Amino acid sequence: MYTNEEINLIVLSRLDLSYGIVKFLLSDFQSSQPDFENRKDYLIKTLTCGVYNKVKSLFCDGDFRANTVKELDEKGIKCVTYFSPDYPETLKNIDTPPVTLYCIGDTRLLKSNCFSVVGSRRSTPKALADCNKISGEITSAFTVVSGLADGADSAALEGALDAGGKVISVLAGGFDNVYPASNRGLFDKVCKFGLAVSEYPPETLCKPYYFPLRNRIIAGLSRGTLIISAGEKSGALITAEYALEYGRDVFAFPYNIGVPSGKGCNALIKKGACLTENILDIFKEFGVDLNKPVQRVQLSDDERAVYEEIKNEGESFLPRVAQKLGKPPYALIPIITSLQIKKLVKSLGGNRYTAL
Amino acid sequence: MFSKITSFALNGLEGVPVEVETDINKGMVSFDLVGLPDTAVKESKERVRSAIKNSALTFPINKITINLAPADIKKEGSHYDLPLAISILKASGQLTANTDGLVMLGELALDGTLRPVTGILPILISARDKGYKKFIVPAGNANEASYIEGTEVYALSDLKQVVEFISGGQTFSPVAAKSFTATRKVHSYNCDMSLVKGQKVAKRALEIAVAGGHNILLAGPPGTGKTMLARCIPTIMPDMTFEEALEVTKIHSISGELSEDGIVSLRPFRTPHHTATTVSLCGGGSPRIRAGEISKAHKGVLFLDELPEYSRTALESLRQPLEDRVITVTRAGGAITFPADFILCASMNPCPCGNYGSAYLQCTCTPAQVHRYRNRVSGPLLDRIDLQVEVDGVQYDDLISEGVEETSAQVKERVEKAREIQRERFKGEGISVNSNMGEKQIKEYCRLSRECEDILRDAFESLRLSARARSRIIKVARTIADLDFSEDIKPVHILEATSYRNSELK
Repeated sequence: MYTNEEINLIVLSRLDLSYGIVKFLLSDFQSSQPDFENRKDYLIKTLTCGVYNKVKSLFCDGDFRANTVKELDEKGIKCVTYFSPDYPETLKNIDTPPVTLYCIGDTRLLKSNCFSVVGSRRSTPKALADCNKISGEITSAFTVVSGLADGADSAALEGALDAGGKVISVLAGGFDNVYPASNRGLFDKVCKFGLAVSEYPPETLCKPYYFPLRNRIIAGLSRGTLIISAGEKSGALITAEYALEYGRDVFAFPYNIGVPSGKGCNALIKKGACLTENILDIFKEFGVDLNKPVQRVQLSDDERAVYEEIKNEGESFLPRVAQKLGKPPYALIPIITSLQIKKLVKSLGGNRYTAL
Repeated sequence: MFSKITSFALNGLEGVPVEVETDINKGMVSFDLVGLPDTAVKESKERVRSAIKNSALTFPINKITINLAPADIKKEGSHYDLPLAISILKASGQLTANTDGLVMLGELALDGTLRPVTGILPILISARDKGYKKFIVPAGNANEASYIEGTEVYALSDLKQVVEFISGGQTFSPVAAKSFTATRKVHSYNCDMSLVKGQKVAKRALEIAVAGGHNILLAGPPGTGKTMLARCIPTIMPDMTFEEALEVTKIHSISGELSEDGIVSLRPFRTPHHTATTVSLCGGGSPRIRAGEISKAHKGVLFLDELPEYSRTALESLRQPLEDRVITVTRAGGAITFPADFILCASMNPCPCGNYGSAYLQCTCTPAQVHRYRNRVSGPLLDRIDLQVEVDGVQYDDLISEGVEETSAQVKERVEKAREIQRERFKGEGISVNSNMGEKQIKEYCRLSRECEDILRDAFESLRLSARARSRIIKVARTIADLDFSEDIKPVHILEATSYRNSELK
């Protein structure tokens, strides 16, 4: 159940007011009965008359308040507000904290140790494979926070979920309009095994400028942020900037010279972001021990030879591996499939493979 | 006077006997043709009149009534000209010899020459099975008719010859029977596997596809040799048997697509353009239902280049024939079943710009664009394609390398051996290749060791394969084992088969 103060904020979030006004009104609504009459003149002066009347009438409308809460309950949405005890401290510390966090899933995750993994929608297959893997490893100490976009965000969420870890996905629009629609399945999985968060009421349509705003929540929730991939102008860079602003650690994958989706990452590293090659680079910053026992997988001689070859190359092309090992390429197909089943190798498309 | 001549109508691939009955009476001069003739048959009145006149015979100036019996099936095509003419000549008393049991087919030119017609082969086969032995066909159809045993076919060049033949004024010898093996074309193809540089994985997949009759999808960046590879398929296909050739020839005969040889001795390789409609692919048309591209590709290959560009309905219509290997086309006039046992070979780019996953070039598509592009090919259709291979970009060095590549003949030899093993295995089962196996046959011929079962189970978990992929993987594994001369399916075979299902295109 919600307290009166919480309902105040939920109603406020539905009025489609600018963030400045909402923040201005925040202190007024800290009491259960906002005192409109006494401060009427002051409020009208700052809010204009129209907004004042709208705010006042809705706040006093008992039906509207009850219905708003009922609607959320029906949709299975829980709203964590700035005044709620569940509201994470990490977000309170930022200068523009969201007043409401509409949530589906386990809201306790908001207060867990979070680490965000974000990146560009256009990432190289290799980066996606690495992202998938490292997200899974991060879940041993953190809740993985990301968006819901195609590419790196999806890879991060999928990797974390596959590893049985906890995830938070922060959406840019309301829950009724999951964007992109192709990730609806992933969204449902996040709701079931983790937490989906949105600053906006469910019926809100996604607008382009919501994405940078959403990024501040991702950065704000997390103790650190890993940038998987970022072009020269990328949303992932905005997240990184927020993270720096809030005094959180920023990590980035290194890239070869000239890879378009890696320019942003390399630029971050130049500025002092932590160059990240594996999970140890992240965990050592937080003093976390990687206490996962290393699993030994049984490999045949052929499998070992192919695995070593792929591992040494980083990203290798099947015919080339075959050439080096002096075997026909199709003879390697069963071996590589076997390695894939053992989750040591991942296909990057176009007959290219990378070792995990 | 009254006369009766036997001819045949085509109903799909089946021949139906048609009696051409002519009655000539004194009365108002008229020429009536009844018995559901279509336009081409109605027009034959004019051709027959001129042909008779120009063959130094007399066209009766009386009341002529011609009936095509049975009167309830539609008569189509121009091959009734000859029976009509002979029937008129008989009814007018110009010909008196007996014509019982003689089947006539042929189109007449205005000067009396006999022109070749379509559908001779299926008609001859049906007629023979119905007990007819003697036939008169146009000289142009002689080759087509020469492969059918147990018939006495006279290929004559004009109406005058036919009259002489019937009246016994001159003796003609029947068309000499030809043996299929002797006439089988030794075709020189423009392409050969050895001309495709690199692409060893794709070549291997093609070999498996052809050996086991599996469908195959080649995906890869533009200009990497997908189409070239596909065109190599006929060069590695096993030679057709006579029975197969007859089946294929029947379809090509009714479509009027037969070459000079009169028999299709090479496996068909059909490449309909991506603007093809559902009807052109599957068959249809009214009133006469024609065979579509998938039937013309019977016992051969249907190659769909740039798969996502085909219309969705056209592609979806392939699903049922891919499963049943026949297509039943139903129209108001009736339903006709055409055989459609073909290997589907499709090619596509991985994304609209074509460079997705390329090692050398950057893909410029958004993930949404890639999704949309791939969604044009539906999951159920992809599911019916056993081998999904990614063709990789070739580097310049590969192109100019002088490395020895296998020739088509070498591959074909292996394919034929694998097919032989399959024929042996499926004796009496009514199928000839692994891809046609049903669940019962899979159970019988594809026993898996525990090791193989374990691999399959692991593969399903870690590679997220769909449940219905299982039996298809096993069938491909069976073919790979056959190419290996292995009695049992071994783990390597299962692993290789799995890899062809594990493409990025899912």
